[in-house]
Amino acid sequence: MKTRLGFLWFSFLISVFLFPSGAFGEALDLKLSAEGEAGGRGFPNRPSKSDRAKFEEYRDIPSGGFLKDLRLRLESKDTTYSLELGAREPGEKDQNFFMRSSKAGRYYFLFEWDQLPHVFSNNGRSLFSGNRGGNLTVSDTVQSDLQTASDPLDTATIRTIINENVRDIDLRMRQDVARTGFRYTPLPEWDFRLGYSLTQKRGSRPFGANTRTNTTSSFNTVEIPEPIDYQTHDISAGAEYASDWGSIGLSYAGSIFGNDIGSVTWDNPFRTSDSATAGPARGRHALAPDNIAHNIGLTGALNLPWASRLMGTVSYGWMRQDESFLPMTTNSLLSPSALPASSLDGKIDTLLANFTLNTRLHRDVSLTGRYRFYLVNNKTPELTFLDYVQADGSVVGAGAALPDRRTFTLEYNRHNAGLDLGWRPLRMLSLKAGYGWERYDREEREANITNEHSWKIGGDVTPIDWLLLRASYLFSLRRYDEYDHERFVGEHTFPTGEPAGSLPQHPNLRKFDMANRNRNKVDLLAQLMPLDVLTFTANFGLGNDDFKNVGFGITGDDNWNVGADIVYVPVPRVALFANYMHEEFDSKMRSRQRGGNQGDSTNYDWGSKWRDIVDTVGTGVDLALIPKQLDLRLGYGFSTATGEVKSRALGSNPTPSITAVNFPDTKSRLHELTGRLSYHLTRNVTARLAYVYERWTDRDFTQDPMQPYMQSVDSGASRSVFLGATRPNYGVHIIGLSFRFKF
Amino acid sequence: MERFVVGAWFLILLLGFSGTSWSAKAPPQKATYAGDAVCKACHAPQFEKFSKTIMGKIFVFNPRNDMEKRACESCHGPGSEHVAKGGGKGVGGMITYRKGSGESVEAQNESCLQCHERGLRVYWKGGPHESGDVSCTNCHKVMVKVSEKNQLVKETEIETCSQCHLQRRAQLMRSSHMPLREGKMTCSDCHNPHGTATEKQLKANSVNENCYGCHTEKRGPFLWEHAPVRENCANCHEAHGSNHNKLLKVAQPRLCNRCHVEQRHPTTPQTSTSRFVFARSCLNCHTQIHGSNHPAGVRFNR
Repeated sequence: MKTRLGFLWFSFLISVFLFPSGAFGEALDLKLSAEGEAGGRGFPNRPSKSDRAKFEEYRDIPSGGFLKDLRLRLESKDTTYSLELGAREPGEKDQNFFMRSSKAGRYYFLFEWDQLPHVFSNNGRSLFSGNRGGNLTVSDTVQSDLQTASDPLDTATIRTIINENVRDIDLRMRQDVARTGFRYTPLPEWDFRLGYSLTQKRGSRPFGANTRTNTTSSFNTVEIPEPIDYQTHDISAGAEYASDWGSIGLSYAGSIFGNDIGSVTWDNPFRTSDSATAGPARGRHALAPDNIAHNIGLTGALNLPWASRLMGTVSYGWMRQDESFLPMTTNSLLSPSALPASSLDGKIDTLLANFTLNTRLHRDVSLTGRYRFYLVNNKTPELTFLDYVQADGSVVGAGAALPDRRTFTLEYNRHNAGLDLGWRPLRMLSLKAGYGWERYDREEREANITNEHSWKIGGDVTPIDWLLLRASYLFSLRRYDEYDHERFVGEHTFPTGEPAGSLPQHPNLRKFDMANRNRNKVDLLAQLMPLDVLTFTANFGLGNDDFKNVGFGITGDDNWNVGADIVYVPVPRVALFANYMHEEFDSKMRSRQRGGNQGDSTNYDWGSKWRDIVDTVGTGVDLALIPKQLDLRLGYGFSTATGEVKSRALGSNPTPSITAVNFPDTKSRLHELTGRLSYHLTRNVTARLAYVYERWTDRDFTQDPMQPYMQSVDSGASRSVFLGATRPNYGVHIIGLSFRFKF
Repeated sequence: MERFVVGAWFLILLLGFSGTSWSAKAPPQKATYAGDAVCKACHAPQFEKFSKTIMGKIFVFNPRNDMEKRACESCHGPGSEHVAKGGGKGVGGMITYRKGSGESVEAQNESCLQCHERGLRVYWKGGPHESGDVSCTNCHKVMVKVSEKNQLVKETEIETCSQCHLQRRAQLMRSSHMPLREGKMTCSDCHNPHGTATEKQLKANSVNENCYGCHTEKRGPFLWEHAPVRENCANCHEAHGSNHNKLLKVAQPRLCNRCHVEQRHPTTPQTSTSRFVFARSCLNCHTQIHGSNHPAGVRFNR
């Protein structure tokens, strides 16, 4: 708060200093203008707080009085100098305040403070107290009672204890951003920019923790509210010089992230004391570590003879993280090996180099060549852990069969090169052809090198001024050089493999981002503007990814969409618009249930297909019922999305059987109906009557059944506890009356 | 048939290189600058509206060089021929921007690039929009102030981009979305439509560096890194909107099943009532999937 106030004052003083030095000094002849909206709104059926989580996901719409879009503008009479103060939704949780000062073409100053809520759920129920400090506790009595009820297992008692002791919690985050920026253009050739922002995020969100909950047989989930207290300082600076020959610019960006709650420690609800076999009394997670990042960049362009232009960027960045490690475990009865280091000393450097040459071979033929290199150079030291503690429950790797764990130092470089040819043989026809190449060279991933070659052709036809037809087709082939999990990944991370009898990644798996792939992509667009008052746009897209030589993993990925948009203004008093989009996404994969009783047999192969179908409609009308007196705006938007996941066994009746079944379909729908009647009382005052109906329904088998104790849904969750957080469906009517003024 | 195609192709080539330009009107040869007072005499309403735009404020009231002092003619070209012939649409070879003017996109854009081929527009030439024959005036309106910022043709940036990117607009209506619909983000928070050094016209140097701009807590580097996460956030997330939670591209647990064919539960198809499926599915335990800095976080569950 102190920081925010200080920042506000600083910005105010800067603004006041900048404005009078010009405006009051040179042009005391000022003009003042203001505008804004004030009114009230009511909800005939406002949902309860717990039912408003989705409705208020990123916004605040309270009942009662409101102010909106307030502006106060002070300008020199020739409008050269200006000072503007503004507020959007003041007093609400998504409020925004800003202050701008400028001299047109010379300098521009901005200060802004923006608040954004992010509601995850309003109906969470938790056994835990003490969220703010990263230390979550459960009352000793509850812990003791749950420990007793969990061994021997008494699910009815556990349910009763949990339901009687959970308390309502809000799972939401608030983001505050204070930013300021200054741009100075002393001469048209020179441009200087400075920027700073402070982003603060505070709140809590659902977080899956796990450990042994008074059982030796399994690890279970203890869902907790993760405390969030982040601050990020972003600094930027840039200078650019431009002239007839081109331009050259230097930029810097720095980002410092700090997390005031570096770890969260939580009581194991099912144990009061540490056990070497049945779980700890407390669990602990590392949260996001403090880190910094810097980037400096040089971008330039050179105008060359023959209408050619060379553009280039070299940008070097570095990311650092050296937060002290937490101890391996909270469990006092476990004795893992000493840590190999006290902190990571994480260092990743990045380098981007991009060069683009654009030229005209002929008046109607353009050629663009480009080359880009991007490097992620991971300089983080590799650390080897002789053993580790799994979820504060047991030491893994202790004893003879030591599967040392070595950290990854993931890094890669990527080359992109391409050549695009554009040719306009006729005024009505424009043709394009292009070739692209992308090469990934990765460390510690399954495919060492992948090369992708793509070819594209396209064309625009404008047979008449008001009609544009555009088509493009892309075909690409991606191939890896070698794909070998054991050689490139396994040996680096698990030198002695998983414990005896376990199965590592299947050698026939091909991960989708590295697998051999043939891609086809088609895009069609038609734009018609037969009249100044009519615009029609239609598009069609088709995509197909065919993955080759895939034993397991994604084997195919298809999508297509078709849409249209129309805007029609038959008479100046009436504007109509409508749009529609249909999208389908289909994927299929193949896997094998492995390990344990199933072993590694083709009998346990299974396949899955999923499909998402989405339809989106928007329509509306703007009507001047009485010209310059009474306006009506109506709008309606609708989106419906269905998700299907189908699965089936591909083997032959194994024992034990494999359960590859279809999941229930998910369905989400959003309706938005808005209506606004505006009556211009005077030239400067408008009365507005507004109505909004919004309805969101979501049917999702993964979220709908959530409650703190889920044993009735899955008996395997008998020693787990959740937050039971959901976002219920809602339907809201809002009626508002307001007055918009300007003077 | 083959001969016909080859013949047609050859004919088009011949036409293309014959020296006949189809793309632009010939510029006026003898026109000179008439001055904005002359323009204003006939185009007073347009001049008035233009004066209220940011460019108008500079050109009309605070010109910094000869180019800006020409005001109307800095964009429309010298107007003496237009004046001498009595004015009117298409008279005098002035550069015009209205629909159906017959002016080529290149000629229109060249006029804007006289001053604007710098800063965010350094990479305009050869960029996706330039090579797609997008005109500056498809997105920007110079003569009238329609939008609060950047002189857009629509009130908001999302509406402007949605003129062509219909699918992206539809995605904003998805259940899982970033706060664009709510007015707290906009397209240019991630993209620079004038072209960049990066793919998809991203503002930062890579997809991940773009995402780290807001999600600084996921930047790391972490002790335990998850390879597809370090490489590309878009391996799992669809930033423009999804019907799956957390902007995921695919429903859980299939999202993880795509790559995990090791032993035990990652390879089990699961039923819909399983604790490996409900709530956050795999992330009920493997919470720190973006990377863990805990010594025991090798499986991202610490």
